[in-house]
Amino acid sequence: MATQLNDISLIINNNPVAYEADSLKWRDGFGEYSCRNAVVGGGQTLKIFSKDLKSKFGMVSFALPSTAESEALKREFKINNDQNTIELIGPEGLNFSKTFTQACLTTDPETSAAVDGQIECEFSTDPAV
Amino acid sequence: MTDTNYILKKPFSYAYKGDMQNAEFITLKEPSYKQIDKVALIKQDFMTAIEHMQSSSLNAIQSIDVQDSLTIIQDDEDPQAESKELSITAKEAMQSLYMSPVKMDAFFVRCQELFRSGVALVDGETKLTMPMIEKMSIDDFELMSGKYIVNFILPSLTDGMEESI
Repeated sequence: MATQLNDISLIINNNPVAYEADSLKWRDGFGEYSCRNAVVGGGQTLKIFSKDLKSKFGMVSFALPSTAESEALKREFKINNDQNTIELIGPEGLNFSKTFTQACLTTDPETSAAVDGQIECEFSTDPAV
Repeated sequence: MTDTNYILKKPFSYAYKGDMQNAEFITLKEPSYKQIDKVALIKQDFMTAIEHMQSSSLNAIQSIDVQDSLTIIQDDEDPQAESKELSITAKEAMQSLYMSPVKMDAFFVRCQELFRSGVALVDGETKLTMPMIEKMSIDDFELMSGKYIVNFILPSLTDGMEESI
């Protein structure tokens, strides 16, 4: 039996962060790969593989509930520029953990002042370790 | 009482300025009134341990004999008095607690709350948080708790006794 990864601890700058259920997403930051064919002639082709290094960065996104604490966190993340560190730690026994360093909140997150209001945060980071 | 450093036996990684780095030591700072609710309980636990040591005549740690400490404090001419009074090590402090009826699980939760309140700084700069504590080895946490008792709780206990004489 396998366990779905939906109970992950989100730790940013050594502090646990409470986020909206099912909102956490991440990209490891392998970058995009591309394959194309070069023409050899006579119907023959040669596959050319390349790594798009400019897309080689990680991403972590999640939504915070719109609270005063979240507002303070959002501000802290933004002020830290690219000096945030994000750790994702799975439930005990799963042996799952990822660390994203040099994380930067690229967007200017919007806060929704609604009953179920959220603050969407998206970080661009170094590739996950 | 001055700040003291606890050198970690097993360094753990923590976030520092956008990167992960290994913690080498933890600076322990003197508690203030802000921490009184946490310090009072730890002090009470340690007093229970001392009392238990005395009553069970297991004086494995003679230097923490309360009566001796009181006598020594009054004897200003004895140059070794103060050092003898404070000669208990972090390990001995923890041993005395373990041998007493103090509930150690609750004791460690109290220590954890105290350290998280701002009296413990990783590498002298970054506030110790729960995720960091969870990365620490048990030995390190125990000895750090013992060191805090020896440096900040024990002297404050004996100071209080001196005044009451």
